[in-house]
Amino acid sequence: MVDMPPVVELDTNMGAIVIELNEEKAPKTVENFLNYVKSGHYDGTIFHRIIDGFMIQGGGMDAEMNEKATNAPVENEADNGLKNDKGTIAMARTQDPHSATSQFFINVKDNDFLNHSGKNMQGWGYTVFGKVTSGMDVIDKMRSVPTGRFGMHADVPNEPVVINSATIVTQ
Amino acid sequence: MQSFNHLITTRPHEVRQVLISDLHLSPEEPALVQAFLALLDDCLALPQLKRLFILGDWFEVWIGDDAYLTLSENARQSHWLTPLIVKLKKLRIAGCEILVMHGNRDFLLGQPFCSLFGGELIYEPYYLTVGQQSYRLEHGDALCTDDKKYQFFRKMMRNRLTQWYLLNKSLTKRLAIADKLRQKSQQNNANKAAYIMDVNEDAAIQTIADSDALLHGHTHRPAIHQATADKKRYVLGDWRLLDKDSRQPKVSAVIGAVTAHKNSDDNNAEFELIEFKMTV
Repeated sequence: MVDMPPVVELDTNMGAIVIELNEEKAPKTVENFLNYVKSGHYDGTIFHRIIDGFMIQGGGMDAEMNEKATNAPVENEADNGLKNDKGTIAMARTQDPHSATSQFFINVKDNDFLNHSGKNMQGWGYTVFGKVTSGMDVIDKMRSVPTGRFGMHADVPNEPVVINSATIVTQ
Repeated sequence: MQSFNHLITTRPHEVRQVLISDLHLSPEEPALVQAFLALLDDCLALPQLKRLFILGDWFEVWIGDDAYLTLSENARQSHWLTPLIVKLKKLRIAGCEILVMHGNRDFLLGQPFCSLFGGELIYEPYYLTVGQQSYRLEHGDALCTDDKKYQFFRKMMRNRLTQWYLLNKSLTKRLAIADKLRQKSQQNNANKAAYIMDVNEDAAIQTIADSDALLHGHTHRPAIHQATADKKRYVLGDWRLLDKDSRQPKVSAVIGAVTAHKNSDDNNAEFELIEFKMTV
């Protein structure tokens, strides 16, 4: 029996996005992501950081820009050979390479500079753990929404782009 | 002239775009490199900065992207370019676009190098909308039409075939060629009248015809010129080390900034030349 990659569907207020996860190349990251999906963490979160020509980022804040509680951080797996190409999903993090928790982003362009180039602080890169298989048209609409500042946050969509629910389609 | 420092301490939210040129960075000028890194730090702190333009002669010489790209990870760690790439990458991740244009020194700079920090190579002329106006951006060397010798040289150097030929030579050979060309240029410049090394006014008037304003560098003579009755020609300055032998050497450069009032959209943006100054 062939192992099928897990597939997750994001139902958003701008349409559905279907993501195929690469469990083989990013096992810890995919397990971490699926845990958040199963617990309902992503339900009601928004894409709070959208930069056209770069990426759309979400999975951490609710519509009032309050940060949701997260689990322990997951190890960086960006040295898995997967590239931050257009349509891929990767984990967001702070400067600490191993600080990713629940926030993720979808690349809207080939972002080579986010790829792993070495096991040092500046070169670690961002773990790519899947790709969008349906819904790039939804993402195209999302990336061009008007954005502005919200307190100390920049590039926040003026109208919330909401993930109503995240569900596992196949596992 | 307003100082960049004053602008960013009094109106940080208003700075939307920053434009620089003619840094002529090299490992032989560590003060200039530090000043550029300091500018990037300032940029990182600007909440509304969306674009940084580097309009040519960023580097004193560029013999090809491979000089850096083929280095091992270890070699890169101690390379003088690495801190620049790291900081530019940080700026890009923060949401600022970095747009790089060729100058007459670094015309062999490629997209592969720019991709290291998420930068984008742009080509002249580049049209930038500032408020209700269209600004034409270029490096400036194409405007020195009185310098016939240079224009011939430029045509040859910008030719794809020449570039392909050069990039196929070994790095050592390319370094030697660059050295020879620099020597020749210095000799030639010593014999050229000052006026032919500046922008030809007629060339400027012709060039500005398709836009509302012209912005360039290259001549190292920062100023605002009234090119035609209703159109201005802005010239960015080179990055200079002043008071070299004093206890407080400074780097100074005339740069450009596009500003717009907080909460206003880009329709009301304005352009100004300002002075960036840093004590090294």
